[in-house]
Amino acid sequence: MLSPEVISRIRRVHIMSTRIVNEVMAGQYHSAFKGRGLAFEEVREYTPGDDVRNIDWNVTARMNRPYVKVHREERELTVCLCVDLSASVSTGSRHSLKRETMAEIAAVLAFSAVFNNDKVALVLFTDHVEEFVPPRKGSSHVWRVIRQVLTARPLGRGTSIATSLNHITGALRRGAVVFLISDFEDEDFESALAVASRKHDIIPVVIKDPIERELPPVGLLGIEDPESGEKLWVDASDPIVRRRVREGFDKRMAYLNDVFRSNGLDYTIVWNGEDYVKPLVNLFRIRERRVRVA
Amino acid sequence: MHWKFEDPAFLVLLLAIPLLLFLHLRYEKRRRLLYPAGVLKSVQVQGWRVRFRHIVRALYFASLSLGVFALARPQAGTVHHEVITTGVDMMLVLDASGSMKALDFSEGQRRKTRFQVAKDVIADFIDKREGDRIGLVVFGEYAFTQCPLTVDYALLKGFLETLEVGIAGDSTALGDALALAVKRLRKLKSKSKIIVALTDGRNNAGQLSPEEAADIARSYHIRIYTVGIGVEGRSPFRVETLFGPRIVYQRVQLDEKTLRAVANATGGRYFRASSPRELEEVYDTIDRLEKTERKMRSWAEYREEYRFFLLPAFLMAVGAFLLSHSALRRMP
Repeated sequence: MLSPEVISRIRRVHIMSTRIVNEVMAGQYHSAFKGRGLAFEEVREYTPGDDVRNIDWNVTARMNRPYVKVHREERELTVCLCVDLSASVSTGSRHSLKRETMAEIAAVLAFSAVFNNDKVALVLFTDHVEEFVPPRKGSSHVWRVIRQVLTARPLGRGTSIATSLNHITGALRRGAVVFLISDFEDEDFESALAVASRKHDIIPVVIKDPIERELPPVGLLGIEDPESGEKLWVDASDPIVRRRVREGFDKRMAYLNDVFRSNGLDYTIVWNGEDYVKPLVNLFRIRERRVRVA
Repeated sequence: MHWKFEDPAFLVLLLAIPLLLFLHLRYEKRRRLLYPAGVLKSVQVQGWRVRFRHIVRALYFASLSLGVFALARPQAGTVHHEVITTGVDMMLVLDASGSMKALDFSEGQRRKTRFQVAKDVIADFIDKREGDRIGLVVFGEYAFTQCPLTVDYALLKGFLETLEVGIAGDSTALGDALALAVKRLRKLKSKSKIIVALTDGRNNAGQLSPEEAADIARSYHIRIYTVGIGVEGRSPFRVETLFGPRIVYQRVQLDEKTLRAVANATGGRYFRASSPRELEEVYDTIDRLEKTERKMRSWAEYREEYRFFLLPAFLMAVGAFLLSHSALRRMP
């Protein structure tokens, strides 16, 4: 059973996500992910200015007045939330672990999807796929997704983005919108990303903690790498060290940017402890613009 | 100067220090900030201060160790010995007449006069005595007190060292010398009073004969040990002539009969030494004969020296504290 603490957290995330989805992102999400094809919705009376091509002649003949067919975009969309649970996301400063922020983002996206009547699938992965929840509609399903994200206890420590992407490609028959939520502390995922992005619409959400770029100036820092368990000391107050770390981090981000851009992916960066709604809304805006242009 | 710990039981605490160090190292191994180290490892820098991170711990543990030493009450002081029982009172009588220049006690190539040999043997003898009051009378033509009775053997040996042959004339006033020694001893109330007289000749000067001196000694219960030295027959002498130093052989007359009589009259013994070795044996024998059992009282004076441990310990701790809050600050 779930502990009361977890239940209250799920509820909090639910309320927060619903608010965000309703007030901030509703329209953005909707227009950012237009489905393919048109679904007939209803017929209504012709008003001047309607396209004459849409007139439903059968109804017009029966009613003796002109009627037009009204269509709606088909929104039979599958959203797959692909969340990294490797040990490296269980770190973070500013009162929250990266993992918690990632869970909240996943919950917000799941609610957005359900709100728009999309199917939601969930993949939790470390160095292997920990959990796969097949795509389904409905708010009871979204509860399940959120609970899984918040309470899953991963068995693995490492990160293998490639494995999770291969799993998605196999598990989802139709092309889906895949939110790849990870800190991308991984190597050798580029080719798998290129393959998967041919079938799916992949949106990487890169989550990083500010101290990964800017070491806290606290003197000598005893560090343990959560994935390899390697222990090392670093002088976090040394300006040379700080500069080199900053440069190394920026280089890494530039590399990720290159990988994503070369595959034509839109991505966003979320900083742990900072507002994650704004980056998501920006992402959706960019996509909306692209969809409109297309 | 003498060092010791008043409460050495506290030193057992030192055994706990390696254990403490081990626990601390393990604790520090476990207490780490979880941090994805991918970027850090790729840039390969740590900063120079990392190399000095052990200084703080070293200072703390050194301070702790010194603190334990201070707790064990280190003390420095001196042990004093006081002799309670008085030993014998002893006058050494030494012949410094011209005949003591004879070289018959030479050993090997080095020529040494009898006098020099006698001085060395007597110095050794003095070293062996403890708690006795010893004085020194030297005689030749006259007798005089070179050193009154004293327990300051360094002083006594100093006086002995300065002696030279002929310092009191060339002839042999043994009787006067013995009488002078008796005079020095007679008023003392010690248990045992003895005279050790060393000569190589015949009494031929002075106002008193050795026998008369022995009578006086006996009346004061003073024993006289007499030591006659010199080889039988002629002895070599070094003589300065116009043509430089030469060795001349002369007969030295040792009056054994008188010496034996003096010793017997006072309850002492007569010894004959015809080589340095024999002379040493003679004095060893006298040393054994006049052994006294001595009782000593010893006490010690100690100063507490904990500050020499506590002060550096304090300074180290303060240094470690300051370092750990400035240059070598660490997290977590």
